[in-house]
Amino acid sequence: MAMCSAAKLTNIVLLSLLAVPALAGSTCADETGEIVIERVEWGFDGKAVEQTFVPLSVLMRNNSPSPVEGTLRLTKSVQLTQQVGAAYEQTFYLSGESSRWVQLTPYVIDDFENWSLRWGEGRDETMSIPTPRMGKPATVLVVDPNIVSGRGGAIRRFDPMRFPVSVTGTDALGGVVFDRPPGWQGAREAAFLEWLMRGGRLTLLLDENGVYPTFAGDLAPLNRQRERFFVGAGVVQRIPLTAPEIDAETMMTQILKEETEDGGPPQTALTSISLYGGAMSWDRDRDLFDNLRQAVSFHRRWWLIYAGVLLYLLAHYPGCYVLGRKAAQWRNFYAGFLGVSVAFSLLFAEIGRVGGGEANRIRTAAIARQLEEGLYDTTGWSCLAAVTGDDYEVAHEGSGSLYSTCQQMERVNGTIRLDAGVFQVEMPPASTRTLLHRGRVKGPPLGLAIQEFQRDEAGLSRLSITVGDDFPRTAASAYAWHGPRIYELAVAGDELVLSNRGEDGLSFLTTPDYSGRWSLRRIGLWGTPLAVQEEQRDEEELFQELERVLIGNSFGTSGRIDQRQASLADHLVRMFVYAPLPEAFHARGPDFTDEYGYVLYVVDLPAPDAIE
Amino acid sequence: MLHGALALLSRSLREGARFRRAHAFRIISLLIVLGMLAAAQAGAGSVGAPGLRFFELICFLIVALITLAGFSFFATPISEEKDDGTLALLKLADLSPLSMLLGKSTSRLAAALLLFVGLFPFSLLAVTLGGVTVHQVWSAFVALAAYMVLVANVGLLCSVISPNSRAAAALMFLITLLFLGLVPLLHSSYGLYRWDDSRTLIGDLAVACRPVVGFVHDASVIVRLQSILATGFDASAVSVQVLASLGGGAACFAAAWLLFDRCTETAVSGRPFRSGPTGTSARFFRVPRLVWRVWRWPLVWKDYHFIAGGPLITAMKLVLYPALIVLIIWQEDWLFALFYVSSFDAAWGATAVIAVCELIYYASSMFQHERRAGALPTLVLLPYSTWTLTAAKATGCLLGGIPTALLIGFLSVVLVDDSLAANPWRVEGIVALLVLLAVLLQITALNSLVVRWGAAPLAVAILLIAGGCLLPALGAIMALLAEPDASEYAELVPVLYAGGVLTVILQFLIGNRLRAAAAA
Repeated sequence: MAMCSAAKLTNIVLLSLLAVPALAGSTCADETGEIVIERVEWGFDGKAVEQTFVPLSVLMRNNSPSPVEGTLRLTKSVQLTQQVGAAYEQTFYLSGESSRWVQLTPYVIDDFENWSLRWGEGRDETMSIPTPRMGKPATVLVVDPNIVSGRGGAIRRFDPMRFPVSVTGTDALGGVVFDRPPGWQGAREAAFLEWLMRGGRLTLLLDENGVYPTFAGDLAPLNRQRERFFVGAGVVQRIPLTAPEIDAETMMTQILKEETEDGGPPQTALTSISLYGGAMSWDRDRDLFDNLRQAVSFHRRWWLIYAGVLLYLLAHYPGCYVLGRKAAQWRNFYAGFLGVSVAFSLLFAEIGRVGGGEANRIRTAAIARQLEEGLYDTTGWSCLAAVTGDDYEVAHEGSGSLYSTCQQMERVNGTIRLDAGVFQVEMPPASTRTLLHRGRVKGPPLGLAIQEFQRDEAGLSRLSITVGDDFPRTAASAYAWHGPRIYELAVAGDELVLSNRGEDGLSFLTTPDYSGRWSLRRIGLWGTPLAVQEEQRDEEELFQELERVLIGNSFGTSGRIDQRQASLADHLVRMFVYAPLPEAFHARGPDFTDEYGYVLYVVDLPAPDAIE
Repeated sequence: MLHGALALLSRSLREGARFRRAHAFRIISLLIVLGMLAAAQAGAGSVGAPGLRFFELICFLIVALITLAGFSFFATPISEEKDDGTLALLKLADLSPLSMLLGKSTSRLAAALLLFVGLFPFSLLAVTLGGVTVHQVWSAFVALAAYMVLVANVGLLCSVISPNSRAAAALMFLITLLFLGLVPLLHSSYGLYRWDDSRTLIGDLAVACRPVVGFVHDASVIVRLQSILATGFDASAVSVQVLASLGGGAACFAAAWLLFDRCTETAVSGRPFRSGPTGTSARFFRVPRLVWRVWRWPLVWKDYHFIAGGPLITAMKLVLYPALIVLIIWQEDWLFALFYVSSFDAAWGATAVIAVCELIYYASSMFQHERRAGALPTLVLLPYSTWTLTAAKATGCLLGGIPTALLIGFLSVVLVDDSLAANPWRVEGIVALLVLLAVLLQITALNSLVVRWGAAPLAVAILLIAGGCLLPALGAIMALLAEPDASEYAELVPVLYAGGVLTVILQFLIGNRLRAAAAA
């Protein structure tokens, strides 16, 4: 009878399981398909640059007669995992029966990532985006796609209306070619100029009439009648050819300045050097986040915890084992076992807590590249730590804010709202979160100017720099980089002067901290004490270790270091000043009141005797 | 009465305190969790809340282990006595049903809870790593303990009403599938129904079952754990899930107590097992049993008929499997709406599940069949090497997998993924899973020669625990090999190497264990 009952029950359950899917019908609403994604393009030439914010342009079409607005949501996954990192969101508005480009700027780490785009809740309102191929910063011909004449040639074309509206979105751009004015105004024009002054390469070609383009407004300085001249750290060159006449070899040798396949003379020497004899390559983010995480982590008495773990194991074996084997009453064993578990539970709960005096905090290491006096193009690596679990919001002053969690390991319950320049995240208690920020921010004007400048075959022999009133007197160090060499600066009166004859810049970047070069500095540049209290010592040491990494990152160094990346044109003297992070660069908002860090100011000064 | 009822329980508890094996098991469990904790701390630099990740892993690992234990450890306390024919002897010794239930089942529950309690202090170290609070850890452990009580007593009930351990395990599996599979499905359908205005039969069914489905959903340990592990959790540790689990466990214990005498009146044991419909089930299905003459390869013939089910089961599979694929393609909209999977992924997923379940069943039954029947010595006496015997038995079982192989072949032609060749990491993933499956099957076969029941769940548990400890190290080695200049499939080398080494070791152990079991 029992067998009958069990078998019947089994049969009934089996049939029920098979029947359920058969009863199902379609539960999805029929999609009208009013929004259609026509094209998706990565970067400026269809490729992305590793560890860089890369524009993703999405051509959207609204098939319906009425306007539509919504939010584009971009997420990434790695191999077989679900979403990793935070989602990017960008609002859009499309008029009836129209198309337009909508641009998001995600941070691309490498080509292991898979990207998905969603613009609604329906089954048809999502698509997988092809993983971008990785490449070097792009060089493109900026020309209206509606212009028919001038087709052909080896230069990839780029629609001027897709140019980013902030300099923060141009990191994947290496060079721009014009054969006619781009027709920009306002934000795009300003972004282009700031990109150029920051170190961009601009090439001017002849148009179909055999004439170089003539620029108006803020682009008027590009009208100089010289074959090669400088705009800030950027270089402008003229090539007397039209775009269709640029073949692959000309592109390589004259525009990209690369070595030709037939071994023709290269424009600059190319040397691949990597750290530690090739065992490790330069990673822009890893060292920074490792140190910042150490700096921001809440204090724990790990020695006590390890001792407790060992004691607990001993309490079980041989403690409870002997009790179980030898005790007269078995109840004593169970009482002892439970007692040990309760006692050590209380101990671990107590010593593992975050201390009562702790607060939410941020530790930041940043690079602030001067665009003009008091205005900076900043890149900030931050690590957030939250005491209590909650939803938090992080934003910065300025414009063009971009964020990334630089994550490929775990999902982040957060959203990066690109239009508002805000990062919203849910953080568990006593947890940390990495954050990369790009922004265009107003900061303290340094007022740097070259007072004295002399050089010989060996490099700089004399250099004297005056500083402004707002120059940070708590700065830890200052350097000057000229050509391939870096020079340490010291204070003399109210000026910064050379303290040595410098060293090879590439060696400076690639020598790890074994030589004691960066032993903890207790006194700053102006004689101000740095590590005031013992508990600050560890943090100061961590930040001082980051100085070299930040200098390397300021050159856009990545992977195997290119000799050209660690060398500057002769007309420039690049100043590096490493100082505590000013409030202007702090995150705004009440969630994180304890923010501390360091910033590397990067200021390009023209050498007085520069010959163009 | 109570003193007599507790006699067996007291004896079991005394054994738990004295036996070396019980202590060893507890210590090993502590060391495994400690290893996982150390791995979490080592990897803390890569994630924002390493304590939360570690604790999540621990919680869902414990849920998986409790569920697996439900098919074996908790589902066989009474049925194993029926299998051995010793239940009547226990009744002759004037042991009351309560005494037997407490002594056989509650003692197992107590041993498992003791193990659980021992893990609690280490789990609190997740608070130190960051991401969880003490309250979350405490609430999760209360929820898991209640779930364990429920599973143990549901298993006890299955063990009482089922004629043997295999039937008890199968019944427990179906009940688990019902509560952890069907109910969430109906719950999701209800949620979708509310969002979508179109009337469907499944939506109406979900609405009709809403009160029951809603209650069972709220009482689900998985839903409860998800709620506990969410940021900001501060609700009471005693929830609907805890009360429902404890109440359900008590009800099942009471039902087992009430039904004990009735269900153990005619305990049948010693009947040779045979796959496929038998007895009442065969009459229910009203199909003739097809038995061919013994082939030239008797071992192959025997396992094909007695384990793989013979031509009848093969014919049923040849009809059911294509029907399943047709059903998946027909209902692709419903599948996507609920699970965000395409018909392509669903078809391949279902095929993979069928293939894996079949292989695990064959691996667990291959030797256990002879072991239960006491025929291992006879088998080993045959004039064949151990390797030949094993190969013949495996062949017989795999013949039953021909319909599955045909299904895979059909899908490979019809539902081919063009992007597979362009995505080396997907190929790597498939190869890694196949290596993992091969290891799992061998561990299952080995377990079937060691334990009386639960070879497959134990193998899954071993793989989960060992994998949790070893996979991060393997992953680190693979990541080191993932250089831009290296071959696309270079990362597979450590996986294949580890799989090869494990295979050699396991084959050696299986051979030794087979000879030892035959000699015993």
